[in-house]
Amino acid sequence: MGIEFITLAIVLSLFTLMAIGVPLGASTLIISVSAAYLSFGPNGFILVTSAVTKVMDKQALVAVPFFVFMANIMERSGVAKELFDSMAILGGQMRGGVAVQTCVVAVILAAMSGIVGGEIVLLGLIALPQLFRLGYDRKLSIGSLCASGSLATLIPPSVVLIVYGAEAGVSVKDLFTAGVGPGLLLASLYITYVLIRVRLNPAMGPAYDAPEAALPFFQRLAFLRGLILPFLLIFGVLGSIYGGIATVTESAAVGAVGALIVAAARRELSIQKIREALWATTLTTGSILWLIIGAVSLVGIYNILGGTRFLGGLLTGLEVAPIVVIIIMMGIVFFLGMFLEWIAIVFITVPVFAPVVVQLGYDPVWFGILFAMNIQIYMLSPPFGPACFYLKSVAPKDVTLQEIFLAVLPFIGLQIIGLALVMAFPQIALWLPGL
Amino acid sequence: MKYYVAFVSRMSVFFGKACGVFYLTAVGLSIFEIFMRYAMGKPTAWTSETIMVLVATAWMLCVGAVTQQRRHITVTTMELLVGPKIWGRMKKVAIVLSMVGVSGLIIMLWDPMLKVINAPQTSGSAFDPPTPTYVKTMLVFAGFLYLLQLIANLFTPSQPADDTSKSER
Repeated sequence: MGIEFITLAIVLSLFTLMAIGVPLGASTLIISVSAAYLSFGPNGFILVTSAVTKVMDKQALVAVPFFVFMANIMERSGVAKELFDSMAILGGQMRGGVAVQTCVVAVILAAMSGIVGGEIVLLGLIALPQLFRLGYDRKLSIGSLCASGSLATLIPPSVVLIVYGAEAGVSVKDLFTAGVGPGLLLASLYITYVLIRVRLNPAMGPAYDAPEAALPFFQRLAFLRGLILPFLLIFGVLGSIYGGIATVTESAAVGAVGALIVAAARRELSIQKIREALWATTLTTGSILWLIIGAVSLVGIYNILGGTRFLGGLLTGLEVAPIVVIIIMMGIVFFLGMFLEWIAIVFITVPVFAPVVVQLGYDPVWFGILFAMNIQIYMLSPPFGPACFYLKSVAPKDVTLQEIFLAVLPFIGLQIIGLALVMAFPQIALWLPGL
Repeated sequence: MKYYVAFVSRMSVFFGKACGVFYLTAVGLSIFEIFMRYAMGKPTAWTSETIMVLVATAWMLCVGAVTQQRRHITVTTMELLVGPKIWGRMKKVAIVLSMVGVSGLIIMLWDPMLKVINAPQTSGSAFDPPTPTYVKTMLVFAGFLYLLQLIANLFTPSQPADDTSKSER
């Protein structure tokens, strides 16, 4: 049986099982067990076993539950609402100011948690009702909120970058540093787009109507106090990583404890909230981990069958410029995003792509950032765009999924522009790690 | 069968909630390590591996709770195409197929587990804990938890028994 046939059989089986409704983790497990048995008999099982047990030894993944716990505590602490109110007032009565401040708040929240779902839900609960109440254009509000909420895939401490780093064998710290430039680039693109639209049609973004927003600028600076706790937390997490004081895992623990302190300082901490946050953390990280186990076992057996070498050979054997190979890889990630969860995409594609990227002479950190930017596009793209579903779950009832998907289209365009810019000018990502 | 479903569901939720303790302990140990390294000038040789084991234990033990709460990542688009009735049947088929996959995992892990129980393996680090022995044994245990909860799910309606999921995403 040729590897081409095996590859086709695996892809078809995977899509069939997923279509029936078999969880992704179980689908990949079924295929890996079958492939191991059919190819090597009972001895094949041992090959898969070693891949599965190695998952429990991936140090970088330990940071994931810590960051998820931190995000869950922050979600329950009310700090995001105070942050949004302060930023909206600081923005004054500028037209489109609240949408712009939503983007800024999204960047700060991304730097605090690294979890897209929680961030979009928070923004959906806090910012969207304000934007609608003020009479902001619905599509502009929804699109800017979904897009800026997805920045958590790129801005440190991004869980996507942690998982990518663990699988590609790339320094998570370098990935975090490299994610800052492109993250801010995308945020700037979103803000510029909002400002241009509002400039062309002022009715799309009325000024903020809170009395405090009309205060002189220096008096509004008093509302900066709403930023103190979030910035202390960001400083604690990212400062401990970049200062070389703590590993990524330890800084995630610092963040978790910091989130508890912030919630306590705001008198929003209770045993019940901690229990809820822990339960949510258990379920979220559990679903991620068992998906990883399935994906790793499938990739493990596929690798032994020569699949990784086959796909790598296909990519390097193309008689095209190396950058075209990168574009093809990005296309594959984008295509898979229509069917698979991002974690599965990481564990299925990175073992194939990472060696090819190095072989082509590119920096794997740069590729990791391109990968995360692509995952960000996947977050918004129909038919599965998770960010759209997250927002739908908390948006007013009259907001339809169709409206959300239409609203995010211009922002997907901006994300593609951002991706192309980082592809064409790698220094956007690499200048900070190079310092 | 309803006693079986109730018992297994409670067991899964119990183990799931216990995972929180492992995560909190791991967070505490991480902070302790930073304190020992910088305040006391005595970095420990054991915290890193202990944290790994604590987190790995939580990952493995939570599988029953994740399954009971039906939180495994699943593509549900077909529900829109085929309607709730056929989708309900497809979900039963999906559970049976998942049971096949998990059974395969248990079979795969069984011999390596017996091997490490008979001749325990250690990590080989300075601390040298029996992590490989522990992980391989716990993975089999987790596989059985997963399987037992899948059987329970086969005989329960779609909504999880524990409604705490309503506040989660």
